[in-house]
Amino acid sequence: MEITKDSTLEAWKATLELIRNKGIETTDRENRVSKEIIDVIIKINNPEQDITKPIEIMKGLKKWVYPELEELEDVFFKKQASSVYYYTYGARIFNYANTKNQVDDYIVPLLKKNPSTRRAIVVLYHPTIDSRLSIKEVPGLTSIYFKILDNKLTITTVIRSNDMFIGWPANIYQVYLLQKYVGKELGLETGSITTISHSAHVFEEYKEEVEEVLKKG
Amino acid sequence: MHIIEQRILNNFKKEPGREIPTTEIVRAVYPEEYAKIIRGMSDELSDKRLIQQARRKKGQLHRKILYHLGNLVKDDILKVTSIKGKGEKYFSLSIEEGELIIEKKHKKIVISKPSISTTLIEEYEDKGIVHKFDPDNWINKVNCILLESTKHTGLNSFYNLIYTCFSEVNDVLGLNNFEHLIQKSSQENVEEILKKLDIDTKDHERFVSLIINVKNIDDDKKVSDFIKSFAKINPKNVTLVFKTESKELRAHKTLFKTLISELSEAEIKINIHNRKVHNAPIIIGKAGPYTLLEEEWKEYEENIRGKTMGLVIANTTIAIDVNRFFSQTRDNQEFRSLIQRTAKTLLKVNTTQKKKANEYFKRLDELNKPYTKKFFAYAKNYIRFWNYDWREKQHEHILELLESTIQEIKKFCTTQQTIYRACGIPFNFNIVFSSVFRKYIQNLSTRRYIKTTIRKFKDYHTPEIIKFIETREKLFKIFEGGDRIRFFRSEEFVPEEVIREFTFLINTYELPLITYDFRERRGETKLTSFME
Repeated sequence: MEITKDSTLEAWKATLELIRNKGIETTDRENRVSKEIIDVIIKINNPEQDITKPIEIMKGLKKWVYPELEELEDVFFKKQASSVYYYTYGARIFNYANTKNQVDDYIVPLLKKNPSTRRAIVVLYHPTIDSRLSIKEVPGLTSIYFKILDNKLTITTVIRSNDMFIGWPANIYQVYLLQKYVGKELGLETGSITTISHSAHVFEEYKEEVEEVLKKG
Repeated sequence: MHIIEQRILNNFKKEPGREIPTTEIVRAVYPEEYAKIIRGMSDELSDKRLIQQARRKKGQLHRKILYHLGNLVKDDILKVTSIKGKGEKYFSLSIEEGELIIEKKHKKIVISKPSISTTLIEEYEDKGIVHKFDPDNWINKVNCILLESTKHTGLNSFYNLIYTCFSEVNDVLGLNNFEHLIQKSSQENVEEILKKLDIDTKDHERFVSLIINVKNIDDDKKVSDFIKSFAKINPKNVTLVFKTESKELRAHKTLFKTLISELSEAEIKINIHNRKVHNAPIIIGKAGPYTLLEEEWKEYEENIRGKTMGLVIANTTIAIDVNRFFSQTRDNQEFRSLIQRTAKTLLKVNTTQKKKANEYFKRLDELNKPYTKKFFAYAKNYIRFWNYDWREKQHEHILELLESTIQEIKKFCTTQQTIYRACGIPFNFNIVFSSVFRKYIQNLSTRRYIKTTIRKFKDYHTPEIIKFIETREKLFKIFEGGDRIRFFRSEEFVPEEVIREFTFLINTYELPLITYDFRERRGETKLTSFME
């Protein structure tokens, strides 16, 4: 399924509506019930105009503590692996396997050298670590693809398992920050963001809150 | 800025949240000189004169550092946070949070200390209802660590680890399967370590729980000798927990007779941990008891034990004075809201702690690499309750209220974990309820509680004692973070009687931790009496 919208909020709401109406009920190993659609593609043409809007709405619900923007940025850009978190996106992106800064040492120079390249991909999934039966925590974001189109830097990210209500607002903000960072290094404007969510789901326990969000103008 | 002051501040720059003792600062600022002094003092071949010389030199370095530390205190950059042991001063940054820019003679040092907003509970803190445990160190230290004795071949090497961990916790260390080292070591060595434990726990204001797994005892004589030494030294901040079941009480009857007679004579509490009811270790700290959930302990035993030095059991604790709360309002909904606010505060503390873990828990990381994540995997946050006596008319509803509130808190924790995981911040966040001990903090409301005194075995069959125990059984199910039931054992008895009472309690009730307190042994008491 594919959704294309101009703004982040529109894209989010359209996806929530789609899952509410067409999602198939599934139960996970922790007995949590959700509605799920496989392989949802969301393209936002101009995400910058309201990139933090879904996060603001989540915070406004006041039922939970939603991470601060600074916290979300920190976890995405911190190179050093954490001794207590099972993984961090920052370490996977900027210090993959303790050896590779995938952005500064690869993506940026590659796109500078060859703006039409199809090789500009960052991988967050680490099969040696993550493809083990005993591992409980595996990154949701598995890869990020950069492409220069019409002199703008676009980005496409693949998300293995995506809680579209709670997680997606943070995910889209985090990849946007990375898009901005690389765009600045290349001296380019940023363009669209596309997310490909293999399992796009919303837990039934947030049904009321999802309705509340959908009703908001 | 003086070079020594720069070096001192570099230590605080590395660990801005820590409270650092003078000795550690000396060691960091003068690493070579200090190493030489320690070699001189501990070298068996050094003669008396050389040892004295080394001591003098150590004193000189301390005075030098204290002069510079004094200057930094005068300039309001550092503050003395506590004085422990034989007058050792502990220092920390004078700012509570934010950025500290120190400029002195063209030298500039910027130190940043993270801020944690606790506005959600401040109102209740001001009213004396909510109390953080050790607020000065509540994000840079953990409350409780369990250390595995079986990982060590000797008491001395284990003691070095214990000593290192004193600066990583702010409440208690539990030494699991301590019988392993008792049986492996000489009586002199055991006694020497007990003396050290006594001094160092007092100096550092820390607690230690020695967990003796009776199942593993095969040398009753050695354990018996250990008990005698313990009773003689009577270390105030060290508790004994005997993890056992009724058939072991019979199998080790002579040992139990000795321990009951020795410990009761010295008025030392006996803690009986009923393994059949709860297998995970129970650790007794200053704040209260600590434990893990059964499934977590099983998982640890199957997958982690041996890989780490043990486990972090608790991160952070906040206590709630229930009596003081209900003396100001009768609103149950407000109580629930207070617990929610407390839970949100604990979450904020935890995320800050985790974010800064590489800085705060550097030593623990080094000691557990590459399994540090597993070492922290089961750490809980505690909400402890004080003065919640359900037997008082005004608190009759408290059990039901706590029972429904913990369900709400569990849901909150699950949701928060989902939110953080979905945002790429994968960590465990769990809150458990437990009780508070009086020594937690000075400013708790005065408790008028009914203490339960046992004079003879048949007292256990009186309706009021039966009701008391049965209610505690219910409470144990709510207090998943651990709880204890305490009986004051009065009047003269022979140890066999107490063994019979232990056996009865273990076989009859679902009580994980039974504490016998002998302080009233010689006094005239009623079955139940009030005490302040």
